[in-house]
Amino acid sequence: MFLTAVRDRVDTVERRALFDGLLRDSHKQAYSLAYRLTGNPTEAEDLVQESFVRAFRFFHRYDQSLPFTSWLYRIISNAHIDMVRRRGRIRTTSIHSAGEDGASAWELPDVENAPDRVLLENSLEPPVQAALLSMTAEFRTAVLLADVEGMAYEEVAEIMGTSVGTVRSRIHRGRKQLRSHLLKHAPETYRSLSNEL
Amino acid sequence: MNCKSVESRLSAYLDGELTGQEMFCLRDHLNQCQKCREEAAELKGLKRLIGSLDCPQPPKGLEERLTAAVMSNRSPKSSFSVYHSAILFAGVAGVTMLATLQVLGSISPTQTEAIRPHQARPVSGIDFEVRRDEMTSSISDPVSGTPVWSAADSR
Repeated sequence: MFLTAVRDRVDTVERRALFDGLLRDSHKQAYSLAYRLTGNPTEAEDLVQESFVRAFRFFHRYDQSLPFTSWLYRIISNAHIDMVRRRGRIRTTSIHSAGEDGASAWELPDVENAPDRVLLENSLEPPVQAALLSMTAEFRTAVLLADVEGMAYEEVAEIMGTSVGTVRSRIHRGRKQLRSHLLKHAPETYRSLSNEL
Repeated sequence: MNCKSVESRLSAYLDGELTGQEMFCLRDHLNQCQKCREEAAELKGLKRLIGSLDCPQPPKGLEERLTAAVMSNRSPKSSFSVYHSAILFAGVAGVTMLATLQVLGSISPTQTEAIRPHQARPVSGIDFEVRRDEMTSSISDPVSGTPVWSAADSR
């Protein structure tokens, strides 16, 4: 029993050291994704913290032959959806009921009167960030993982625990929602940004 | 491919996620359809717009705060702390010590008893003395009157 306890103790210390190294290497990337998902620094830090706490709790399930960031992004993605649900921001309509253009069945939120408007104004590149926040958490995550993190659909599907077909649909409809939002709320900014790129 | 099926695949096309055959068909359509070409160009711009967002820098001390949060939220599985180890070690050491003392205690009285000589009661001028595994007796020399010791090994 004593030897088992000592072995457990050694395992825990090694596990802890490994996790500390991974946290050190990945926390900036994690914060970056969390910031874009939440739109403000306070919520981003909360999300990253919640994700790392979850990651350590379930660290025994992590397959060390796979990239830690992919596993961590999956946790961030789930934690973000949980956070949004807790705050009642998520829409309850099925995504399958949305129209072909991805916008007809979705009533985009009135960002001007949104409770987190103050936070949005403090965000980087407010119109784009606001447009990202107007999407569902699932659409936003898929778009960010593909366009910002540069991940392939298969990786995004793995992280989000869904099929490649669903990811393809979420990304396409997400981009179109983003455009609709920019055209409605910041047409001039959208046009000028589009011309610059 | 018609415009509807092309439109639903445009993002996947721009992301290089179509199969070879699908990509050739879609490219064929784009070469012939200006409306779909414009839509593709706009989606491409959106993709670049999202990708061009600045990378937000983490606030100062984030790593330390995250490490502290992880430390204070350890799971029961991983919470076998130094404190628990010390208690377990002290317990095992205490039990071992008690067992050792018990064994030593059971040996000592016998040895003490064996060393102490037994003095026999003198009978008719003969003295007996018993020491561990031998017995001695003394009688008086009939000539000199001094005691004479003889020994008898019990073995």
